[in-house]
Amino acid sequence: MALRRTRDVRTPVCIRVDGKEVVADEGEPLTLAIQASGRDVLARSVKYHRPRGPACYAGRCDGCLMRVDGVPNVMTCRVPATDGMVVETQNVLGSAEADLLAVTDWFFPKGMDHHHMFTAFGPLNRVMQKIARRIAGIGRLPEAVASAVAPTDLRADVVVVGGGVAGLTVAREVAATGACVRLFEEEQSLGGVRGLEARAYAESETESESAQRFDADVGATLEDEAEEAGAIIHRRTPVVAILDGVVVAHAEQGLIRVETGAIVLATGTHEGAVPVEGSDLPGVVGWRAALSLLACGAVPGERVVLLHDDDHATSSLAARYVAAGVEVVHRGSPAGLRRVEGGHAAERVVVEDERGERTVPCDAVVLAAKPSGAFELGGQSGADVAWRDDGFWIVADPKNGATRTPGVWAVGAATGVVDPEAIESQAEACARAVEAHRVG
Amino acid sequence: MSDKIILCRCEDVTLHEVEKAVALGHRDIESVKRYTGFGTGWCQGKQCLAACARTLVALGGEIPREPITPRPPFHPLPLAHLALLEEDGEDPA
Repeated sequence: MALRRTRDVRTPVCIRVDGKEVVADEGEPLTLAIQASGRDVLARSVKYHRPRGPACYAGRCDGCLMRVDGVPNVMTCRVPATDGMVVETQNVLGSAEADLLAVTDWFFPKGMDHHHMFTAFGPLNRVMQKIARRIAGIGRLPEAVASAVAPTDLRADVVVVGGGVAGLTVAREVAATGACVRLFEEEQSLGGVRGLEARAYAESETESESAQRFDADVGATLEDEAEEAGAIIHRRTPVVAILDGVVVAHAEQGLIRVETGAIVLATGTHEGAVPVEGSDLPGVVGWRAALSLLACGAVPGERVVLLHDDDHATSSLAARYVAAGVEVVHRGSPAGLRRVEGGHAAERVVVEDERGERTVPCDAVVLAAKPSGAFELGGQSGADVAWRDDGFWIVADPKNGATRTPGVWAVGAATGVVDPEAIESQAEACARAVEAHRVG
Repeated sequence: MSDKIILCRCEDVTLHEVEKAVALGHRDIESVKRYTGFGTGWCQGKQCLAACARTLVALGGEIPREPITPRPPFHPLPLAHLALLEEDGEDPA
């Protein structure tokens, strides 16, 4: 893998990564600056110390954990780079590239069963537990003791969780009726996956049809409309819990508790994984990860494999990559991926399609796994969650998003509704139902 | 690197471990989670849960009626931000 910037650094700042000076573009994800300096392995996995690199660039994997300014276990993909940051590899014996603790990966070739391992003899078990704790340690304690931060208490008539098209539409419609609406979004930019596509392809120089499909940034338009209607948008503030109807969100400065009369979940989907041999190697990234990188002005490698079941999506990304000087060495279905090979990062894939099985040399793999609904907050707020089409989804009325719990609605992709028109009409009907609940 | 198939990358849970859990009689998703520890790491199953459930179904386990219990927090956060939350109306002082 060789992540590369596709545009010049705009505001150079200096950070220090394991003692080495690295130039970062101020405000870009710290992960990107570290990788652009030529580093593939950022971390090691917890049990087998397998090499790890970012897979999601969205705070949803273990691939970018490092020690930043004396604080362990920082998801560096969530941290904007600023001048003077000190970044260190954690929990290795040696370095990230050559970690002696990786011997555990060879010692347990298939995995381990800690329920039965070294349990017959007490003293041996105690020694092994100490060794296991050392190996699985996740960094040294922070240098300074953090001071406790009190939560902030807020009120709202309606809380919307998630700033994709569905969430923004509900927020706009409900705010227009005069209700106090607070929308929480974990990213800085809104629009969800459609917004991400628009930002990724915004600088596209190709005038192809596929690029034009993403031209209209529906997310940005909806964001403006929602704010004009009076909705309060909290960016970079993920909702971390819904407990007894109280919404708890996490801003950089501390927790926010919101008492509210209505909750609308528009949490979207998780991108998921394709578990084959080697798919945990650095250089194997999700489709949305690749779009995030494009939006930040970066490509994941020079010889890239693209695996997506939607030809349109593949063509769009391929065109963008070719324009950036990236070679697209293979395109196909994620189902055809047999394994990924490489020492510390992806070097080859073995793929199978109608032409048979073959090995393709590469340095990055972008793959679109089958998504599954982000159901977690639905489960916490009393909505049903069901298994359907190989995924978990919040159970909600496709017409207006009503769940089995009064006062809780769920809309959009988290409920399995994906068609843009269906999402829009569901979100608008949801807004009417929320308003009726509020005044009734 | 050995030729493991990793199902849950945060906790390094392999396909072999899940197969073994199912063979030992853990046939529902919550019980496989408790035995193998998948979905208990940094991402709390955001990446791996659906893949683990598909694997369980393919191995002849139960078709999930519900997912694993979605416990807070949805994202990792510093303990310092939790320290002043009172318990059930109790004064934190």
